Amino acid sequence: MKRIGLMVLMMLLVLTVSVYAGGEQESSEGPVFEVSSNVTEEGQVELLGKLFQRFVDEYNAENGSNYSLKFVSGQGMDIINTRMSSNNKPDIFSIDSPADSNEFAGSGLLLDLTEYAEQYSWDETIFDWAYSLAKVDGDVMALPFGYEGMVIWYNKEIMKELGLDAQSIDTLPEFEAAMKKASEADYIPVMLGSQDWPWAQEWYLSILYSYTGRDRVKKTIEGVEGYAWTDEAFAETVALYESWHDKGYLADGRSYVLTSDDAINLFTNDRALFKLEGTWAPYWMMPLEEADQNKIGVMLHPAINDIEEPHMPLAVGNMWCASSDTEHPELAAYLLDRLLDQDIQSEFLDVGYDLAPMQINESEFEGLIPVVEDMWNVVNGALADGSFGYTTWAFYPPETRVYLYEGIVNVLEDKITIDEYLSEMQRLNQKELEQGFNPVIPAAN
Amino acid sequence: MMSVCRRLNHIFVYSFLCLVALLQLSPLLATLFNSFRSTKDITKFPIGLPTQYNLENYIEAWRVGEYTRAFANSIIVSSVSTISVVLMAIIAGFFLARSNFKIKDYIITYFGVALSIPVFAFLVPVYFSFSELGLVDHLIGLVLLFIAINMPFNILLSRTYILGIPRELDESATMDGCSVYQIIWNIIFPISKPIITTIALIVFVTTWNEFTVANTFLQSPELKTASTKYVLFVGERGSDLSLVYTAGIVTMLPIVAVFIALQNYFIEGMTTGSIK
Amino acid sequence: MARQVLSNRTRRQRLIAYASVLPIFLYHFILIVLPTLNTLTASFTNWNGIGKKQFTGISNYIELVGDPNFITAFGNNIKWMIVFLTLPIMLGILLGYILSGVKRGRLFFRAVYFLPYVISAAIAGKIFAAFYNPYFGINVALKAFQLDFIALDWLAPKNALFSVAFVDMWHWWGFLLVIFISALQQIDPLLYESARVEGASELQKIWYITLPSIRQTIVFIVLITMVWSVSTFEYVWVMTRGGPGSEILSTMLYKNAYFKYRAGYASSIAVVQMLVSFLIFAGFGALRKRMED
Repeated sequence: MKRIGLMVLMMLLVLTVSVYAGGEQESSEGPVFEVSSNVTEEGQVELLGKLFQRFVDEYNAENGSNYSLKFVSGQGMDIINTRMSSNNKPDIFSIDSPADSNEFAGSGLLLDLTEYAEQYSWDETIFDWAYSLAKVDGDVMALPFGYEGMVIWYNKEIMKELGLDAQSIDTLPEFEAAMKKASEADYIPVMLGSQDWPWAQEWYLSILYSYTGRDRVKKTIEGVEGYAWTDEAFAETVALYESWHDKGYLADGRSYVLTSDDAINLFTNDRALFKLEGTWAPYWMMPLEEADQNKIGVMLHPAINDIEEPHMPLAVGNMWCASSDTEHPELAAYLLDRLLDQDIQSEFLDVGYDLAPMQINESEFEGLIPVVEDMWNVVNGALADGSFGYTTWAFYPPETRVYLYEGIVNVLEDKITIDEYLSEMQRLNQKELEQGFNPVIPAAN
Repeated sequence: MMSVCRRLNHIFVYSFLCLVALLQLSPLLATLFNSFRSTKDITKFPIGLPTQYNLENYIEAWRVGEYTRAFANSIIVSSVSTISVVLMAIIAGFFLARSNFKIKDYIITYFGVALSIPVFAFLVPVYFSFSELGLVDHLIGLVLLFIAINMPFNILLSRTYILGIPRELDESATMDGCSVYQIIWNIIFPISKPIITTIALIVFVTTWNEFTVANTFLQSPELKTASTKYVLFVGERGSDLSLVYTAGIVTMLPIVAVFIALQNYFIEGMTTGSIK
Repeated sequence: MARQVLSNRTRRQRLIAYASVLPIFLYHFILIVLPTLNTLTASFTNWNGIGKKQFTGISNYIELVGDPNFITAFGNNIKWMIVFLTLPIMLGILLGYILSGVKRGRLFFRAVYFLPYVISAAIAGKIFAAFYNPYFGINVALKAFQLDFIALDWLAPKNALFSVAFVDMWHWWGFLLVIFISALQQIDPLLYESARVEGASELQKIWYITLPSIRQTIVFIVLITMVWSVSTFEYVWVMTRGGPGSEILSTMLYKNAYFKYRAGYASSIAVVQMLVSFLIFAGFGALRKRMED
């Protein structure tokens, strides 16, 4: 009896505490405005929380309102999907790509921001190519944020040791010669790990397909007559990728066995010449020791044919959207617009977060660690003439895209032929077009 | 002669037990050692003894992961779930083992079938209903769901156990004029210590380590549980191997401590001879 | 007079039984089964997970049957099931038997064997993934000790499923052990006494007393092993994300629901998982009926 009594007492106690703990956040006075972001890194979480709080405070001061902010982080696409199908939607939130925001807009879940975009003159601030990704049927449905591009990183010391010069590796023969040299010297030519992050495969394929021909990719996705994924040009590209895998140039034939962390570790431990990753890579470079940081160089991937020059396939890393259910659209639009402030861009750089896709003052790029500064030089240089390429996650239809990076492993494993792989991609692309997928692919220069 | 045979048998058995124990523990020992080594050392050689024992990594992992609050949340969620499930399991298990009412077999079958419902079959719809009821982003909502998820298995487990308790016990109590609940509190509960320990351990551990549901139903950072924190933490700093191992130990240690404590508390329940 | 009192008592007891069990049943039914019906309806639509549902009949199921991914995933679940029906159960019974016969250190060993169960899938998965690393993992150590032949390519597609299953096994069999110990301790020691007096050997004791006494527990364990093999998720997701060679039904479901905007299709996978589990369960029920006759 005593024991039962004890248990009941404990249960009551714990229940009260849990109710108290659960209900803590109800003690705010004004309406609650919820911002949901997908960042998980400590520095980024802290910065975003701080910035949004400041923006909300300034809004309250200007308008005499008393909103209180609820900022949550670590909300990936799976969580957002679940929440958007319920009644517990955040007011503004960030999602992964334009394809996602298109899907959400198609289901009527996003707030039409067109009038606010006009009010804040976004069309003058944001890069054209990025801005077009945010529109659905001419209406602005999201704020494109965080542009990232595909580049290739290299180990300066190994490069020197092999007697190579990064600046002069521009063409396919030069690139393959470099990989061969690295391989013979017992280094892994190109490091890539997709075991726990299958999306890593599409990093490389974004480059390769874009380099196959930007105009070709655009027309293929749009379903223009006479263009298909099964075309010879794409088959050649996939064959090229497969040949690198077979020769062991690509992570020693283990690109889908190694995790992304393995790939990073191997690269920073001087086992590989090149590392394939995008312009977000600084997030793992910044915690490194200075000596290790200075070993890293960056460049645009060499060309693979005579059709395209080295360029940077681009993506928008985040789409900040407002829920169509939000009761505070003005605040939502205000907060989104504040993300375009010039003076916070350097703070984003400091924590390795994305930058707003707009012209950013030079002064914001000062005081960066050398490798990051190098990278932004490469990026700004590549974008100087407005030229860019297409990444899969920003521009391709969702199912085709998922098959792209899942199916390629089967090709590398010789489970399916290149033809079968490309045929399936074509089939899915067609299917999605028929089901209403609307490609938004600005023409590259 | 016989005692030598006995002794050899003893040695053989104990050696085997120790070998298995070593195999079970080696991954954890390796993790413990690696948590003290630097990432550079680990990448050079994956297993080894640490050269220095400093606690910096630990403090860093604790701070970055914001573990204090997370642990408090986990303790609340797991404790309430455990106590509730134990109570329900013993009560339901008793009636399903002993009583004879019409729909008994259907209910037993129901709980068996309930085991085959995967989490994803109800995760999203429950989220929807809970969001209407305001139970999302509250520890209570999570607890209510955890209790439901853990019920079928533990009720059936308890029933199987209670079937093994001889009927004479409660029948003699009934003769003495005890009501049903008196029988449950005074006879079944004490005798069922082994299964209560088992159920308590299972539910506590399962709810503590659960990630998928907890991550979906809790948004606010101050409510997140320990397992959620670990996954997010490692997701970002995954390339810093020594931090990964350290965070692993930090997340593991409390649950291991609770496990050992719980074990000792119910120590009397482990002896055989339930017939008294 | 006595008979009436008894039947009143029985009726009251029956009422108490209903009053106690029904609320518990309803709690579970409302919280779990009703929402599941929602998923069932969703499987007949082309729901994308966030918008409106459009009825599409059984097209999802037809697609599922012809989907090579599904066939592969299903096959992997079967392989998983076979693995888990053998090693962990045998280890659990064997060591449960040894431990219940041992006096000193029983608690210690029980704790040690159970310990891996206490570690979450995320942590165990991450740790073992590090061990399985071809460059920084145990292969380096194995090669150093001239044990090359054990140094497999652990997470390569052809080995991935088994490598992940190994981790789950390491975590799982301690759990079975605890359940078996609980069951073994219920066996009346008098049975063993009389057997010993009659001069029975150790093996005879096991075969004629131990195993039959815990038969119900074994059946229970086999049943849940089979059922839970169909819906297993966490270990595979954490270690390989259902990558090549290790795609299972749950990872396929997860990807379809959350990354491909095909929640309707994912729901049909969930329904298939439930159907298979029901069949397993029904099979056991039929077997039990046969054995009781």
